[in-house]
Amino acid sequence: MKRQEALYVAMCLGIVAFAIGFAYPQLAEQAVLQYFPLEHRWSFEARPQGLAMDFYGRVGQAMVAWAIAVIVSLVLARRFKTLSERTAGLLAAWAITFTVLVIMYYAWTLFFRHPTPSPIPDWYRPR
Amino acid sequence: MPEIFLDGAGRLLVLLHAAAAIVLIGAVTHHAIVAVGYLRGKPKLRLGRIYAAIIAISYAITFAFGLLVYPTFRYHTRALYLDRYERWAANLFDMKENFAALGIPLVIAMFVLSRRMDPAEDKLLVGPYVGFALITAAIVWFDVISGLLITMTRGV
Repeated sequence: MKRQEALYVAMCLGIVAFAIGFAYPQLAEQAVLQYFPLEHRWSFEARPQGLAMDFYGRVGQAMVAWAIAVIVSLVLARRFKTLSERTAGLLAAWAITFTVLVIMYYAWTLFFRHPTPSPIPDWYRPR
Repeated sequence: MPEIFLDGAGRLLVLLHAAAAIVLIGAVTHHAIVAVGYLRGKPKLRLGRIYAAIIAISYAITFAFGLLVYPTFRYHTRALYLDRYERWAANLFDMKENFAALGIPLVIAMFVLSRRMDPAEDKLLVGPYVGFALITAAIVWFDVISGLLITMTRGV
């Protein structure tokens, strides 16, 4: 397999791994790194109490999943001599489908979300 | 009043975030046009490589400034105001941030492939490359328009 074809395989599988690693914590209530901006602390949990941000943890987990998928794919791709047209098409379809599915998942769930506002503190003056 | 990470620099960070996003939206749009040209047999290879590199750099910078200002936004803008008075904007922001994250592997893929791929020889890779370019452009356009709407509603 040519170098650019091996990279293409790795990038497509990396995209799939990233999408799964990014959305999985919310789909399965998996524990993920949380940042508590008011308390300046980090915690690894699924259901945090108080004001917490899981975005950093989900991005980090997705990047780890991406890196593992890319490294494994690059090693395995060396065993194949060619990349068929069918395989190339399937890989692109998986990568694009996973990305679009996760985008649709977030669009659907967030469109109907009713966020709970934090209580107004005594010191609060609107900026 | 609680201390929040980089709270005092919030507005400067949003300004830099927006400035990087201006570069990014221009680059993804031009890159998408160049990539479609690959399909039509008009490969401007050098231009495609330059735009892919600009996208990778400006995406990383935009994303990094967004991450830095996020704690301030999360409390002062979203938790205290948007979640109470403008729920649509709070939800739109979360869509925007999640879509932006999903664009990261696409941007890396375009950058890596653009360095190695020759559209004239690697015809198998051209279609997927154009697909990645169009999805990335759609994500960036959505995020920039969303960001403007949210900031017009309530900034940091």
